[in-house]
Amino acid sequence: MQDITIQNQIQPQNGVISSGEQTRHAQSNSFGELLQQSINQINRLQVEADASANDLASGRQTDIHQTMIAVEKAEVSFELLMQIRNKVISAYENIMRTQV
Amino acid sequence: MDFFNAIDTSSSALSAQRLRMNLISGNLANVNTTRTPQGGPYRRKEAIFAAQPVNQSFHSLLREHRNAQLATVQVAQVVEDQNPPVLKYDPQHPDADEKGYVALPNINLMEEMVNMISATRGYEANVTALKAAKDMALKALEIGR
Repeated sequence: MQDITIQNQIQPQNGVISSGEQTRHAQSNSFGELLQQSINQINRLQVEADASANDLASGRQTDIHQTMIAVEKAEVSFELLMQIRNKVISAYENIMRTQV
Repeated sequence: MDFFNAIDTSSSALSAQRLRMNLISGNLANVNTTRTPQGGPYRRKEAIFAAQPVNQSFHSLLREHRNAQLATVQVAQVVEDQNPPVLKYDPQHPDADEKGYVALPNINLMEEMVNMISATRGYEANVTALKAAKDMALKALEIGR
């Protein structure tokens, strides 16, 4: 009987801890999720640049500079992605070179 | 991204200067126009610019209060010159009044040329600002190299 009561007391505590962990987890996204979000945003900029070039070619949009700016935005954000990729890969290579 | 704010601001200025350039072209093209859909001679058109606060999220405004000072430019309205038309004596002209005077647009070619140079230089200045903003971002990326 005593065991059961102790168990009953521990159980809600566990529940509280796990829910606390969940909220903390939800607040600070993992690096992977952040990376995924950034890649999605960069992809959106690429698609926008593509659509803008299409619009200019088909005459739907007449502002040349807006197309150029969309392309530039896509280029700069892609450059940022490449830099981050280089950093991640060099870190991975450093770890793989560890002497065992 | 904060870096895109500068580019978007320059972009709005480019659009505004382009519209101004279009209006100047229209003014130059219609120097001798005596007929318009509204009736009477063509009237010189001019763009009025207005500052527009940058569209930003509440969070970024709260974090950096100075961002609230950022402003893009927008063409608020296109106004028509209300100066009276220039009267020229030409009884042969089909649009001449009973006294033989033709109403011509009150457009000063020199003034339009100066405005055109101003629009071109304004456009160039904003392209330079845009390039500088882009170069700054690329320089920042060079830190990692």
